Amino acid sequence: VRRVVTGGDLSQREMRPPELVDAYVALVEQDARDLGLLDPAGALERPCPACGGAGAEAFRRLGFAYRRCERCASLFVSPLPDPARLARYAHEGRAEAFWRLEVLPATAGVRARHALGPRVHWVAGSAAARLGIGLTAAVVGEGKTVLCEALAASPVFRYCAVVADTGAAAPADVVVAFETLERVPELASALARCCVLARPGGLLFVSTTSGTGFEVRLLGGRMRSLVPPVHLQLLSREGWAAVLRRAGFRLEEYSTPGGLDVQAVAEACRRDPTLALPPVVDELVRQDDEDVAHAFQELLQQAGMSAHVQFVAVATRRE
Amino acid sequence: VDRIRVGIVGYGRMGRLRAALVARHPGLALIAVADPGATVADVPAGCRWFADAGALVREDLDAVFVCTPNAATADLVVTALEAGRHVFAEKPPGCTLADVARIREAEARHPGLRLKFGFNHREHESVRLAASLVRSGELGRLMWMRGVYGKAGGPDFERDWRSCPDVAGGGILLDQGIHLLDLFRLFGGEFPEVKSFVGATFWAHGLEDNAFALLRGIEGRVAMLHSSATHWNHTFRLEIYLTEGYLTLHGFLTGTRTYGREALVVGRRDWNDPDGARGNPREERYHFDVDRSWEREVDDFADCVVTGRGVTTGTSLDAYCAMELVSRIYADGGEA
Repeated sequence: VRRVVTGGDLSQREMRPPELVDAYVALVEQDARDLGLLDPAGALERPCPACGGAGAEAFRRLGFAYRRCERCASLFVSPLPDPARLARYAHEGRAEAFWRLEVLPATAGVRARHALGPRVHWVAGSAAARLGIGLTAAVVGEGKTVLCEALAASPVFRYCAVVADTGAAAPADVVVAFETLERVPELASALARCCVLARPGGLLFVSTTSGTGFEVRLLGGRMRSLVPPVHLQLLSREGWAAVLRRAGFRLEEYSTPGGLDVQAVAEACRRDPTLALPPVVDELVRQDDEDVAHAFQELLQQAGMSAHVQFVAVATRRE
Repeated sequence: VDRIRVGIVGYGRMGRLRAALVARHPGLALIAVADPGATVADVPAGCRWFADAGALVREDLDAVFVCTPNAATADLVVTALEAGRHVFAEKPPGCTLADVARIREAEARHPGLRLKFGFNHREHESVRLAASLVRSGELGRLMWMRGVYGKAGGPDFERDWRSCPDVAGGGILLDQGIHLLDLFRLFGGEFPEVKSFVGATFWAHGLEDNAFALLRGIEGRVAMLHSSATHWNHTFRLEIYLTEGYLTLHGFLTGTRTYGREALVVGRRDWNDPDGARGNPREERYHFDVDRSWEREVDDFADCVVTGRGVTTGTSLDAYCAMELVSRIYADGGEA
């Protein structure tokens, strides 16, 4: 099953205001220096976290090396910064604080309309279609209270809670991991935790960034929304299928319903006149005709090539 | 465990399709095929061939698949049931409502046997997801439906058995429109009121080639049907509007792949959203690339036979109710 989203007026500038993103990226670079994220001490060379394959360096972003897996085409940061330093970045870094305190409030309206609301509908509708109503849900990831409250308000769920990374929790019908799995240093462990949180036959809903999306493939290290201390692994569909299978899940639905790829690449072209895209692609992304841009974005969704990934997996291990 | 011994009556397109599914099913064994138009060379190796369906039914079989043109269906289903065979029959379940009533009487005389009709559209991915969403209540109460199912006929249409009144028993409504009526019932329950126009507008085969119907059901639900054999572009479209949103099924994976890519659009009435408030809501479209409907039907039938559980979808009551709607649309609209 693949899902495509049409309509709405999602705008790159509204979702990612350039001046705020620039300030955020500057803080990320400063945090990386201050916290020694690029320090080889404690950094770990690693294989592809999806399939264990080897990978050659594809590009660098803010000094971090991204490799592309030769086997499943996933992208991953390697060497991986010391996990303790990554934890400090997440909790003490100025960049993530700026994101929470400045960027999120400034974009709350557009995010509620284009991200939170539609995703809650997606989870509630898909879960109800597969499991019925009166469900329990566990939300994985820090600071996901708004998402949790929105899910709890749906008639599909009778109970929803944000769960800690460790500790006991009753198995839930639905586990939700939005913008979380790309940032964990140990992907296999995080998925194993999700599997414990889900009852047999339960559903895992994930949103993340694609390693094979249009934006990252064209822009590589120039992708403005790619932030290495946050985006430690961007998996391909094949990568997700492999790592989910090992963790005890079966991939059920995979879609790339993102709406910003074409705008993001066009914006990158405007910012950097030296950026050379393949001529036909260049002409398409620079189109003034909004209908062409929408059609191109929809084509990317249909082809599974948008940067934003959403998928559903079924917990199978204990069935 | 012994496999269910299956015979297939009618070895045209549907018979061959069912034969392939039976061959793939671990619990079924194809023993015999009956079709006067086939020969022993046409049937799978090791499978017996009969010209006469009666001879096949007398074989040592557990189940019979009836895959014949419409005029033969009712007699064969009844014969197989009376011979103690479980029966799977293609739609339509005969030519008239009386045919289905006769089938149900035979079924009632043999409560240990299982009878299922092949309303396979219920088992398409888009329909299954749509039905789940409607059942969940997430989109509110169903208000109305609008369905179009149209085919072009094509240059050989008038030579097809479906264009022979004595064999087909009805035109496009009975052949294809009955699927939409079955889906209306699946989503919206029963529809006691029927208004319709039925006519022959292009083809000179003596059967209707277009049927338009308005049905009104419980809680004032209205369903609108257009079934056509003059739809020069093959079309399947079913719109379902509920108080909190809508579902549009368009395109359908069929053997010919001419009805377009199968998709389900889900939209919501969200007047807090500026786009939704001006009637241009964000929509989500699900694409489906695999049709497992035929396989699911055979799996379900086999499971009913093995376990003894009752048939729950494609029952003779489903067949009767769909046929009753066909009959009332003909009665109100004037047959071709």
